Amino acid sequence: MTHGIESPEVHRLKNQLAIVLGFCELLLAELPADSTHRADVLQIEQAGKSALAILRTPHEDGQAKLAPEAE
Amino acid sequence: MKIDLGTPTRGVVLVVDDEPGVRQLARRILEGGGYGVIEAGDGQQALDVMASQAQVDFLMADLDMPVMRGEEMAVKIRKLRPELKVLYVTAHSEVLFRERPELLEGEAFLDKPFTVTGLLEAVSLLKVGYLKTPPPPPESALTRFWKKVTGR
Repeated sequence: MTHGIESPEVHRLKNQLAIVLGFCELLLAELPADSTHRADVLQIEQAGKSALAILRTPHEDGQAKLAPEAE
Repeated sequence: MKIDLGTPTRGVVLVVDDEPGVRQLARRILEGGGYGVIEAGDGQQALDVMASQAQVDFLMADLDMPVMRGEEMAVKIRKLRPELKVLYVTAHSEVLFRERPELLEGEAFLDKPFTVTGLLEAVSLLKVGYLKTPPPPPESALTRFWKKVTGR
C-alpha cells in the first residue's frame, strides 16, 4: 500500500516524528557532553531524520517563512 | 484546554494542536525561550480561550486539525484580534501555499517537524519582523543548548 505525500497518514507520521526529533534535540541539549546516553539518543535522532527524509518534499526546509509584506 | 503561564517575559503563545505530544514539545521549547504558553487541543478550545480574554500575543496554529481547520480558526480569531500574530505549523506546506500563495501581514508558517531553534526564530520573526532570536533566560534547560548553537 502506498500513501501520497499529502495523505493523512503522512501527516500523522510527521506529527510523531516531530515529537521524536524535538525531544531528542531537547535531551541532547541537556545531556552532559560525556554522557554514555548521548550516542543512543543520536542514533534515535538519526533514524528519525532518515524517516523524515523519505516523507519530505524537496522545498521543505524546516525554516520559518514570513508574509512578504513584512519582510 | 491547559493554562499555566508561569512568568512569561516575552509574550504568551496560544498553542493549538490536536496532538498532545506536539503541544508538550512546543511548551517545553517556548517556555525555555521565555514565553508563556496556553494549550488548546482544537479550534473551538482556542476560540474559548480568546473569548475568556486571556492574554495571548501569538497564535501557533496547526493547520491540519479535525473539527475546525487551523486556517478557519485563525480567521475567526483574527476577526476578534486583527493584530494577533499567527504562526501556521503544517506538515503539508505545499497544500498551504497552493491554496494561499501569499501569507498576510502578521502571518508566518513553519514546517513540521520543527527544530528548537526553528520555532524560537519563527516566533521572534513574527514579533519583530526579522530574525532576532533573544537568548533564553538564565537557568533554563535551553541555555546551554543556545550557547552551543549561537556561540553567545
